[in-house]
Amino acid sequence: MEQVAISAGHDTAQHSGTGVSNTKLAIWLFLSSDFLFFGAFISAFLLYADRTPAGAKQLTDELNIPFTSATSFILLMSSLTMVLALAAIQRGDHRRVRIWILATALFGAVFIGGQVFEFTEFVRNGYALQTSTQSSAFFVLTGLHGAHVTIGIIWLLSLWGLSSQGRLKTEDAPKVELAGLYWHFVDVIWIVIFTVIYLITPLTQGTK
Amino acid sequence: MASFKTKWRRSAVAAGVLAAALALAGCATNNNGENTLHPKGTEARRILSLFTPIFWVAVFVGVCVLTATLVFAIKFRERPGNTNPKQIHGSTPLEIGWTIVPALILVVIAVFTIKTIFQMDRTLKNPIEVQAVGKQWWWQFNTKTDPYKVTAADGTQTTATEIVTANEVHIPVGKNVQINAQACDKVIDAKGKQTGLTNCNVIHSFWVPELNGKADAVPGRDHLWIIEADKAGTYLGECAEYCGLSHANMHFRVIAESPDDYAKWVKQQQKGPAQALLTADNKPAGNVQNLIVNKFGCVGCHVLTDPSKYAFAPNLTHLASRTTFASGYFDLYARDKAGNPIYSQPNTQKLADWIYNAPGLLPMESKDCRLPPGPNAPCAGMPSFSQNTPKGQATMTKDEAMQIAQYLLDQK
Amino acid sequence: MTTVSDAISHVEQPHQRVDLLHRPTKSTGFWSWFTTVDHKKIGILYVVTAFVFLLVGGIEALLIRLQLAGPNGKVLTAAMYNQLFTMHGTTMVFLMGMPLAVGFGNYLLPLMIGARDVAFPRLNMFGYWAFLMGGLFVYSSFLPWNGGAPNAGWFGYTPLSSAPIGNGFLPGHGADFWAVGLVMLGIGSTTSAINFIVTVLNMRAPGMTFLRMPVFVWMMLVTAFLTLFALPVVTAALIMVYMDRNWGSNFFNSAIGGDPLLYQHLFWIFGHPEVYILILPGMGIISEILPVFSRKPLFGYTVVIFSGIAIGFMGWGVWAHHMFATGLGPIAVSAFGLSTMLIAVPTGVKIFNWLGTVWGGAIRLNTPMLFALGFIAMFTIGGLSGVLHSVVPADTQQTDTYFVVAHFHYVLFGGTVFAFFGGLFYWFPKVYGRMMNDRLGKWTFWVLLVGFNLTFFPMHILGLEGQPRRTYRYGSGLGWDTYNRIASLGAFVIAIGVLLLLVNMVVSRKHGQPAGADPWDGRTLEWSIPSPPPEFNFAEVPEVEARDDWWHRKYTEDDRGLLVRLPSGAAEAVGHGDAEAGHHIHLPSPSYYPLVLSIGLPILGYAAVYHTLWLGIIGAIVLTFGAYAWAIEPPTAEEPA
Ligand code: HEA
Ligand code: HEA
Ligand code: CUA
Ligand SMILES: [Cu+2]
Repeated sequence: MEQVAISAGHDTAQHSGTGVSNTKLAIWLFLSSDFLFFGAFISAFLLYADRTPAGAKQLTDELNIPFTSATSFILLMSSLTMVLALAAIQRGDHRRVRIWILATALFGAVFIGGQVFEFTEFVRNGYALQTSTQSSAFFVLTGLHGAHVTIGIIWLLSLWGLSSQGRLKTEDAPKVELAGLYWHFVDVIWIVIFTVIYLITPLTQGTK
Repeated sequence: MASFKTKWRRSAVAAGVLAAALALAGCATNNNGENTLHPKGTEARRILSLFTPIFWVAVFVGVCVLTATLVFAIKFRERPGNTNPKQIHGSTPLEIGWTIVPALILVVIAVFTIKTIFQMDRTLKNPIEVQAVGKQWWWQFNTKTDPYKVTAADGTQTTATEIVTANEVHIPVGKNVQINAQACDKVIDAKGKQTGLTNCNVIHSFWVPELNGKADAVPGRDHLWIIEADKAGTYLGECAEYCGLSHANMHFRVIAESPDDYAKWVKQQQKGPAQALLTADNKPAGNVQNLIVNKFGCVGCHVLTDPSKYAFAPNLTHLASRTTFASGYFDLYARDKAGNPIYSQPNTQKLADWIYNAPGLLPMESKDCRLPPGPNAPCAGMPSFSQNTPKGQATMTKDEAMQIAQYLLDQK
Repeated sequence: MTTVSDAISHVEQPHQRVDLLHRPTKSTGFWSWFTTVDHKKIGILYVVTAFVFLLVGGIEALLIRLQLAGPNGKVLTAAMYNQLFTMHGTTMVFLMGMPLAVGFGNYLLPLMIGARDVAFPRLNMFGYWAFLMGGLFVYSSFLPWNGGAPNAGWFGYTPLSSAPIGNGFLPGHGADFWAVGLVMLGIGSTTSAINFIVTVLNMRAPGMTFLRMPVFVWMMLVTAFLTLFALPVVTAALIMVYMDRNWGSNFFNSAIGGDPLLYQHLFWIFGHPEVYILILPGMGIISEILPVFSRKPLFGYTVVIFSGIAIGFMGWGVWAHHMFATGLGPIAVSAFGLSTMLIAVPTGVKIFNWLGTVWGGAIRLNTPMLFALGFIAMFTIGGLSGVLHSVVPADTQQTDTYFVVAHFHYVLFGGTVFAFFGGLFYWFPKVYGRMMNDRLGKWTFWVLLVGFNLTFFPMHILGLEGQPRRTYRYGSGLGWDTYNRIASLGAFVIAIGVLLLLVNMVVSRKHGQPAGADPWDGRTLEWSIPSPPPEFNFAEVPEVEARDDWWHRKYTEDDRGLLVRLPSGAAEAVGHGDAEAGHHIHLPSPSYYPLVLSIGLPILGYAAVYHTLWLGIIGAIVLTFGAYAWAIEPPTAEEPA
């Protein structure tokens, strides 16, 4: 958001002490902080993974692993298109920039669509936020991740809008890079979440 | 201007005064019944004998640092002749020294600390077991006993293995008692197996300063804790974890007595109620009983006829055998000079006031609340029967309150 | 001072221009305080606001002490008392301690590292507004229709704080305001932490290597990292509390397996680093004051810095010492007891290095120095009672008693607040170009020192004698009456001291002795420029050649290690550039949007507390508008032709 503010504005261009631009350093710091934010919820989920009282709905009965694997795969693909978008703007190929950004946002939207479907399906089957400690951790954790993806989509669409108006120049590549860092981070977090919820939990809970 | 020497001496005196103040803290003689510096049992004594030497180490370190600060500040003051100090940037030997010396002191402290931690964490063989269950704002004590029979009004008999009291628990002198601090009641099925938890409350903390440190009662957890008292007497306890509105009033008492007296107490608590509440066909056995059962629904929250049962509010089967009521806040009987209750002089009026309008005596969060509270019937504490009465519920008169109080005071 | 406080009281009716896209241009005058991106002005806003919250939190403390002055106090009801101690703790930690440090950091970091501003000026402004909005939001819970202020204690243990209102454990919306408000404050603190880190890492003047940075800068850097990693954890915990209380989730519902201790772990993983967030800036401040007033370099500069970093790291491994009574088991408590004790080592190293700095100096006992020395003494007492807490079995007696209250006020008041007061006296001349009255300052120090010890020393004894904390009354006949009376008396003596400080600041700002650029014969770069500093800070970005660069432009050491003053002029030539030079310096331009964005926060907050969808939509619109307008606004306005 805040651009290479001061250094650009100054008469004596300030060197950067780390060699990384201010904004990039800032986004890295933010993401490291955000990582701990998710870490807290993941810990909560792990703590509650096998505490569902007898008789209550179990997460493992609800999970549709093939379906979520597919949407997860699409989300991962969006990281690829994000990389392509960045490469495009660095080359100055603005038509491709728009295509790849839009593709990234679209993939993200498909993922969110899948999540919305998953949530409604679960709730319809009687597995809701209120069901158990585990369901609370599940919905809040994945929901907050979904919120992150949504913010990413809005961010990407804004870049797309700017680009369409010709306001995203080749020298604005760092703006795309920032959005990209965020987007990759959100993907990486999903890999962790997916592993914990969809792969490990069913294993530890075994056959019931 | 005073010479340097006198100044030095003056600061030393100041430091001495400070040390004296600290010493005062260490040897405070206040005997208030809940002073951690006056242990009355093994566990608390163990803690104090760990604390005292470490405390003096801390005082020593503190006095050194404070004296140095004071002395340096005065000694090296800028004055004619001392305006151009030598520029010292550091000293490696000193750095190493003042890293290692504190570290060594701490190692010693740590060794004794950890030793004591493991000494205090032991399991007892055949202990007397008491579950201390924290509630807003009172304690329920379930004491394990040998199996005994409880007879209901209609004559059916069941076997029980606990006696349930509120805010006062008896223990035998010199015996280790295993407290289990909790914040939920257990759901027990017909076979006596625990199947879940109910009435989960907020966190409270079980603390009898003269007998041991604190054991938090965390909902959903068991917290085993040992207390032991050397001498017969009453030991004051406090809830030591903030638990909402009336946390400050959540007192309780541990009454230590000779093994004989303790056995007598158990026997007496195991008895059924002194007066019948219900007739054999489960109707109120009289006028007061009708007030309690029907008109004001006391039985919705309290148990009055079965010493082994717990409910939302204190078990009152043997209320009159206690010395206090309202989480230990009020005396049930007048006390003699030594502080022992005079059973012939009950505090009936106070008890009646309490029954009439408890939230007027202690802060409670029980407006518009009656009968067993459930979701969306907020009820923390005893409701008032004279004010804020929910629609369709009876309002109590002072006379009715008095009758109930008298009835309860007959429940030895 | 008037303009600033006016600015604060008017904040609720923000200046709305019809045409928001007209960029504000004024950098002086009343309205400029709403749009400024100058780190110095933002620093002043932070400090003044935090000071107001210190007074508010202090008044709450005075009410607490009035209530406790005698047995069975009748000044406050239980409900009021519980709100007051919760808000006192919350205010002092989140609305006084943290923002005061951010304020000092804001003003000083760029000056100390030779930069013209922080890395992200508008984000900086947003951090301030988020802090102010968060504070006002939490305090708005006192308004009668909101049904009471937060009342679950400053660490809001679950399930007391998290059980649905319908359960009746904790009445009112207080806990909701608390959880939501703290998340808001967390957003502000995180942005300023990021800003500080980037500023320090990226914007140092040429030659300002890491081992030439002033200790205060170092400590702020460590603090910023602690903030960055601690806040997300508590934010997560607060979201869980909010969800449990409002939307029926079951994170802490023990009836079906929720574990309240999860909350305690999360809170204290934040909470313990938090107390170092509160003390490290203070340690930085006194590491600046002590050398200047001893006319000696800081003893063991690198060791002081590395011990600060060590404290920062070790602070992550001790959190469960707040949970010694929860039944974690002997192995866990042994480990945490041990790690807690270990922190005494790097802290002790700092204390000894400070004493080493004083030793053999030529000490000027001006007010800042008195506070710094007071810090050493009082903090040590507090630290030692901390070590007594780490003795686990003993802590099961001490925890939740006034012994703990004594411990943390010694480190927080005797430590943090003393350091900040010292810093106020020290840097006031830099900020306003006028000295604070030193005589009155010395009086202030002694009044505070006496009042502080009267208040909090007896609490050690009270705690050991069994008085539990967070109790709105105690019975008579427990032997606590006298000590409590003394403590209450002391609190009012402290209040006199704070009033003296207040008067001194207000009067000195207009009528103090003119200070000049370098009144204390300082060592660090901020003293090389005029007081108050020009908007662009440095006419010429300094080339740093040594640690304590400014000092080395004034003095050198002869071969016996004694000071020799360099011919004057040498220093002058480097520093004070003429103001004309500033004309060519292009500074970031003021902006409305940080304010607009932050106004969205409390609106969303109210929507969250009262589950009002339409309010949520309005909040989201304001937020989005602010963010978009900010994003497309260039950091620096076009140069007027
Ligand atoms: C500025 C804030 C601050 C600081 C710096 C500290 C510093 C320390 N704290 Fe404190 N603490 C708090 C703020 C702070 N604390 C607060 C707010 C609470 C209560 C929270 C609540 O419940 O509301 C608390 C509570 C608290 C507890 C929990 C008490 C309880 O509730 O039961 C413990 C337990 O171990 C503890 C320990 C320590 C230790 C060991 C240090 C150490 O870092 C201190 C180290 C310093 C020294 C030891 C002095 C100097 C050293 C020497 C001179 C060297 C020689 C020394 C020896 C050989 C011993 N603190
Ligand atoms: C930096 C942190 C900080 C500071 C500075 C203070 C300062 C003070 N604290 Fe604080 N305190 C805490 C942090 C702090 N406290 C915390 C975290 C808790 C735990 C809360 C909890 O349990 O949840 C606590 C709890 C606490 C308690 C325990 C309450 C309880 O457990 O029941 C008490 C009791 O005496 C107390 C007293 C005081 C006093 C007398 C001061 C004094 O030093 C205050 C001095 C300031 C003033 C007196 C202000 C001066 C006002 C004026 C001069 C008036 C001017 C008027 C106008 C301009 C209109 N505090
Ligand atoms: Cu129960 Cu405090
Ligand atoms: Cu701590």
